[in-house]
Amino acid sequence: MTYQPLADADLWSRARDGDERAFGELFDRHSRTVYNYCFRRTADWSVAEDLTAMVFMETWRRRSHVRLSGDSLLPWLYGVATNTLHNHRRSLRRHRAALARVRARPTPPNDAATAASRLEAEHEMREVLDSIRKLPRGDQEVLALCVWEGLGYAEAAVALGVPIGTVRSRLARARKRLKQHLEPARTDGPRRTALYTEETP
Amino acid sequence: MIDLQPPARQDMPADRQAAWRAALLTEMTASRRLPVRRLAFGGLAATALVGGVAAALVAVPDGGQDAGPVQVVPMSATQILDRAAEAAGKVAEPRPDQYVHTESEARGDYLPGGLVREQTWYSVNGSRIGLKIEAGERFWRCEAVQRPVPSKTPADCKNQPFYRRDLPNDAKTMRDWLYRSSAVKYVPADVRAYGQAQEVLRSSRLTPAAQAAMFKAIGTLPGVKVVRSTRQHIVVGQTWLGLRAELLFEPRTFRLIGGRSVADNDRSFQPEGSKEFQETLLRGGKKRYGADRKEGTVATSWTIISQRVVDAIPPAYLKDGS
Repeated sequence: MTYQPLADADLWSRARDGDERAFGELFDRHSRTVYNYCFRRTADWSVAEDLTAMVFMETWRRRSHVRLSGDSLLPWLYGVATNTLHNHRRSLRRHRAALARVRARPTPPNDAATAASRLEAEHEMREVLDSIRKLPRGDQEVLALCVWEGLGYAEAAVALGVPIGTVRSRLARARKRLKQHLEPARTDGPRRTALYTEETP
Repeated sequence: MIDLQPPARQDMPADRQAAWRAALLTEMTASRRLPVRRLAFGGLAATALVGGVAAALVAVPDGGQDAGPVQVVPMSATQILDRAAEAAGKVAEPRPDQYVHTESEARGDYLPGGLVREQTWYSVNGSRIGLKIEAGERFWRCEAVQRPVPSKTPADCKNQPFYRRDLPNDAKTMRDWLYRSSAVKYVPADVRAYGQAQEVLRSSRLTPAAQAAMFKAIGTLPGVKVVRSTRQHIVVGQTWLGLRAELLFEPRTFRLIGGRSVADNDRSFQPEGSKEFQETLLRGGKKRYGADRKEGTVATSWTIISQRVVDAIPPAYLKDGS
């Protein structure tokens, strides 16, 4: 579990009281993490961009309900992102005006290397998502948060709004099923990757 | 175990990031009407408190020994932190290839059951994989891998050094660094500097000289006072806008053993920048920050149960399977 004493809490307190700069600071601090989490759940950078914006808009809309996990806003943002992924269309309707304004802006093209890197990442991510698609949705969520995002059980429990025991059992079940499904493919699969989890800063 | 990993993280294109940020703030300005509610707070019982005081009676071992008779003397926060600095300076340095093994716990009402215990093994110089065990589950730390890893425990990890040799060894330079290095922009500089010190002390281990410099530097920060001394803890803290950020030391050894955030109505510390911060809060009609928190309520705490230098992660944790 990572810890930032009072930093997010101070900013959130100020943002909730109407300070745009403080909310902007929280956006600067966490949008990259949210953006990449949304990408990892969708394998689409463009969709991840929309979702990231919606996560912060939803956080602001429901600000009276926000509860920080310790001194970090991040578990809450992961929870909003997970819900937004479920209710994508509803969120799109709610924030369509803001989304339309930003989408209407001209976008400078990426350079060739960046474009290739992003396409390659989308391709890789689709492979990863295909490999877990047979898991129940709840198991996929726990897997994404604990293994890909490096959250501890407690943080994942806060993000998903479930007891810590549920997180543990879902992760154990997901691992068991994946092991069964993946073993035969390991000998000739195109991607042999690390068995580590990466902790978020 | 799970062996499919997503591709590396990427940044959102800068122009899009800026556009979304602007849209977000526009949305925020247009819909600023919901009632606000304070952070959920409290949950853990607290002992009776006084605000910061100039000095507390501290039981100090005669002759500086850890055991034996003690004498009770009044000590200021600066004196306590100087003793902590003196104690820190006597600790041996680890080798770069070793690990720092830490057992710790965090408490807070936001945690399921209010308590999380964890063990970590973090590489002294960052060149080896790190491990955190929480609730019996392993979480590996490997911030950068140069190529696909063939085994279940990557051998070519590169992490930030847990043992920080990059920080100043003298108190004045350390103090300057604390004021310079915090990423938080809006709270007053004196509060930022103290928060940065807390963060560094919790999230890393410093060289003896740097840790000594850190404690001495904290002792010079405005608003830092001794809170109280008991048989279990010597507590120093800085109270600002209803919340006291504490550092806890073990009475006999003056070793840092943790930190807490505690509700405190002492308003004597008003650093430069407080007024502007409070004016924003007052726009919401609140009398003051933290007004609805019961004095003495502990919001969060962290405790270092043990910390020692070891040569390696125990082999049992490196075996395949979970």
